[in-house]
Amino acid sequence: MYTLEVLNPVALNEGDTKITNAAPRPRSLDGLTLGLLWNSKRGGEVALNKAGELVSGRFKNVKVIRYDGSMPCDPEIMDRAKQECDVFIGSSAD
Amino acid sequence: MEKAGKPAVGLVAGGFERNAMATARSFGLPEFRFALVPEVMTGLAPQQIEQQVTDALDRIVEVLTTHPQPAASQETTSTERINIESTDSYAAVEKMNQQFLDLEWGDGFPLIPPTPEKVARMLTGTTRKPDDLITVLAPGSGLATVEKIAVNAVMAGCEPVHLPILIAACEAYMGLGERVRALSMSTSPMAPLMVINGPITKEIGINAKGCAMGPGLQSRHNIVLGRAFRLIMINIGNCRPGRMDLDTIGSARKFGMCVAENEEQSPWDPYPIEKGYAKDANTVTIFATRDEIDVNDLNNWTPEGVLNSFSFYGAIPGGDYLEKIHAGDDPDFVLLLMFSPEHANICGSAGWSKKAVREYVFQECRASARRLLNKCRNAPDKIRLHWRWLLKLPDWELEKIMLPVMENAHDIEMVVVGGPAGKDLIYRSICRPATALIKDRGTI
Repeated sequence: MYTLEVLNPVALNEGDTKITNAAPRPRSLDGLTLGLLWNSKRGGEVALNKAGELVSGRFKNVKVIRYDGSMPCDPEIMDRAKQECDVFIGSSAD
Repeated sequence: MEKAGKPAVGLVAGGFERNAMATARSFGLPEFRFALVPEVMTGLAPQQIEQQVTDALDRIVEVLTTHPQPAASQETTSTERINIESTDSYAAVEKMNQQFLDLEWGDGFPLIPPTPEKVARMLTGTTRKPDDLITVLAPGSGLATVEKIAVNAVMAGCEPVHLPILIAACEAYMGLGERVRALSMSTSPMAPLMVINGPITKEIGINAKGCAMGPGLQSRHNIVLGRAFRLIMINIGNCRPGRMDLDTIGSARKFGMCVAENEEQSPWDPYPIEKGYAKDANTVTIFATRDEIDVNDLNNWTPEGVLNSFSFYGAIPGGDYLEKIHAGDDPDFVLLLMFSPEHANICGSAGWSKKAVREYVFQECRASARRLLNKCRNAPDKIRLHWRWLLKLPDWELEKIMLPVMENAHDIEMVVVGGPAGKDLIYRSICRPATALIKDRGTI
């Protein structure tokens, strides 16, 4: 029997060392502000507009705000979205 | 948004599920959840997109209103040392290769076993310590320590003299800024091109001349350096097909591209001098290439004739500057002109500086507004305000308006590479290149 010892080429990733758990969830979306985050890829805006319309139809008094970002997104837009919204839907179109 | 305490759900297209989770993990969000839609939306009609979202509504609501189950245990990278047992050494090497390939740790070609002895020898190529962190490598936020770079260098067939070049390449790669994510993750066949400058190229024998980008003995250093960098992208950057490399078709360029600049036959200063580096500096520059175009012109002997050919071959409409897709000032379209020495000297000996060449090609490298608009006219909101007047014109009129294919002449880059024939290459690139010094070389 021959044993070949080798070193692992795979690195740890930084995310593994700085884990954030999911945010607390509301029971309902009634009365909340929904942010729609678009990265400017074609089709994503169509999906988000529809999602906003459907969520507004299912829940009461939902306010919808769309944010048109880019790749990467301007931090100012992200900061404003965090201030203005309670929950988010994002789309990159793929 | 989850990090800011706000519930979020992503709409993720079929085939991109692994990418969504790998990306979330790289940002430290293993509990990320998404709503799956069957097809990528960029090519769908609006009503098809809306139907997909309608079908996904229950899942969207579920993700936003229910807390996730505890995250599944993370993918393990196993132990740092791995024992492969087999009947003899050859069989063990074969078994290791199969195992590494199954784990997506390879590029598909046979790998050199990274034994502790081989890695220790590789580490003599630098004065840096094995656990020194060089950078956090995109897209997977991998911790690129000197040792991990060395392990991948061994697997690619590198020698210790190559290690400082690869360390610098990691630094240059991250010097590309946010567009490094597009370079590594795009659905287009983006690939890094390493260009090496300085005395190190001759000391080692990195090929700057005939078939420098091709296979064979003359390019043996170029080949293993390019390959090692791809393995580093895979194993440190987690840039694996289907996971974080989302390429639609792919390209042979992704196996590795590395050349030295042919400084001795260039009429111009070496590339890094333009960027402010000292004359004898050893550097690596990473170009974020999109594709490769052969400039096939053996029938011109004047600067204008040669540069017209560059311009015509390079005038493939990008048009990205008409839109506002990417944040910041970094252009989306950079042309790298890889001059053969013959054509470079036709220009240089006639007194043409690099700046003059850039200005000429910028003016000549044009396409019709109709062509430039083609890929962005379906998203008129994203066209920059000062270009929207184009949308009011009929196609026949747009066809007559010839616009530059890029926004600025200084986004034309130039290096000289190759043997004795007037054949050049153009690399369309997705952002400005980045250069890093090769330093901390060991006394091998």
